[in-house]
Amino acid sequence: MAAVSSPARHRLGIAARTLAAVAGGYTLAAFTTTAFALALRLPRSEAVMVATLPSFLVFAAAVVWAFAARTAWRAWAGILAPTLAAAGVTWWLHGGPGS
Amino acid sequence: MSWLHTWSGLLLGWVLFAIFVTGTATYFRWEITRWMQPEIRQAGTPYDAALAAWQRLDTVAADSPQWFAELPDDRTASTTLFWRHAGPGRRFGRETLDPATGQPVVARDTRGGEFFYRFHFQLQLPHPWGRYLAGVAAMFMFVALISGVITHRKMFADFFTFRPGRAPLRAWLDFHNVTAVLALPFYFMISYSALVIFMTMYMPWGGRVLAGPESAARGSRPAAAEAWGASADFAPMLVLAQEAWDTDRAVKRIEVANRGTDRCTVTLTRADGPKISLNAREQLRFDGVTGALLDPMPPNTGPGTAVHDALYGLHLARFAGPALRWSFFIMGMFGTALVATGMVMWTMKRRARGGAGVALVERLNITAIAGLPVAIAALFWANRLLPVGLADRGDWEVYCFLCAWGFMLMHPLVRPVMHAWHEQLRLGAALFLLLPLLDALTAGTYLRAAWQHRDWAHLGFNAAMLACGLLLHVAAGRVHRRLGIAATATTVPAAAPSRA
Repeated sequence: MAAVSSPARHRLGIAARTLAAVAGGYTLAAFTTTAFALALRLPRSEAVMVATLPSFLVFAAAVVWAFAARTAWRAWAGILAPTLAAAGVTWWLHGGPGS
Repeated sequence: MSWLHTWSGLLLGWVLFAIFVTGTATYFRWEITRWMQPEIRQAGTPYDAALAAWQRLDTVAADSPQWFAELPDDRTASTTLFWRHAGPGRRFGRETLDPATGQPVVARDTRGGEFFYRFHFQLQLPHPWGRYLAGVAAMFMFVALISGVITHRKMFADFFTFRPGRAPLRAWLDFHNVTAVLALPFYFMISYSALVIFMTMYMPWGGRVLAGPESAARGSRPAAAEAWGASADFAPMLVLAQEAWDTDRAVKRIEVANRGTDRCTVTLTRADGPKISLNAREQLRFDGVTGALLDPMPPNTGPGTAVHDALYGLHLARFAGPALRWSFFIMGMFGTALVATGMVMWTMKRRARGGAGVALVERLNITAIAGLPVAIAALFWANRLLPVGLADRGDWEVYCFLCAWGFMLMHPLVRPVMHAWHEQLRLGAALFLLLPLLDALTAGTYLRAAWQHRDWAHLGFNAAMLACGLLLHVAAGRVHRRLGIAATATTVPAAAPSRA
């Protein structure tokens, strides 16, 4: 952790990372699931299986990233970017701009 | 990363410990039930039991749209019936049968091993909160495993380092690492498969965006005006099953769906075999109106489904024979030790610093680690001591469990920490060690019968209780030695409750 200047700042950083890990991580996992489920073009039950099974790996990876990133800003950016991408894919495949 | 491991481990350590203990016990769910209901002896073949179950359901649930029956096998002695009540809503009736007579059992009312199975993922909390908490705990465990592996990158070297004589914290850490590495694949499997089992609850979004015909078809029921159609004779179906499956691994489950309609089906499921996947179960399906054998259901294929079913099957370990089941049980015990040592280390590292937080965690550790065995022993004692005719006896057993645990929560508040550890471990040891004696005194005739019939479920349970008691006894002895050391030292670490 590079930017530890005071205990308060340190605590704020940890709170930010925790939020990124729990809320950000879950949102990322949820949107990658929906994006995969829609993109796979498989029979419904199989698509749900294939898309949902790895979602907890995505969640866990996001949590690890949130605490491994050099700064809390990087932690947030690293989770937010793929979340937006997955949300975009979901929106596009679910009906896109027309619906 | 070490921060993540420490705190994610601590936050749900208590829940995880309870889940590990009850989950490990669940590997012997039916054997526990056999001990807790010693009146029921195994008798007859599963096919006799199937016929008796059908007749009983015809008597008590003639107008029910849906029947289930779980038949006895080499691990269970009684038949369990479920049926859905006629009319709106999802209400179910339940009864336990003596397979020999086909009548409701004249045995003590108990939850049996079911209690451990349910507690393992519902934690005695209202639905669905227990399952959500268990899911959070499983996720935390999975994260704690990954971060633990990263934190202890040298762990394979650590594995060969055990320094019991050295500083106590070092010895605890070594033990923590040994139990971690010994069964690491098991922990990864068990935590991830736990998430997979309830994944549509924890991560329902894939199914939500793919609204399909499958969700619409579910929940359809016969219209009230429809006339009640009679169903086919059951005995010929059973004869067919008997020809297909021998009594070593015979029919285990009967399910009758859509009773009273022309879509009525009867499904017979064979007892679990050595296949891991739950989807590999062998089934015979019959038309419930004509009695004709139907084509087998098209198997739900695809790699996703296959992986899901394999993980589900691995978690439940129903495929495991006695040797493999004992291995799973031992790995579950290692997992229990892994969580416990981690929680104890958390307080040891911070004890010198003191403070209300550490004092609180230390006391909750005592309740969770040493208090839970006392509560479980209380459940077994209640099973033998409560009057057999008591109304809602099974619920009273659970109240005894909860009360005992409550006492173990209060006890450390009035006792110094190390004394509280010592006393609770000793109490647990005494309760478990005396349990076989209590069994002989209160259920002696059944114990004798078990001995004569070489009924390993009953005898093995008593042996396992002795082993648990010895384990707690040894742990109590170690704490007692530390107490002796602490008494001669000038400072008693974190032993003053006034500090809290």
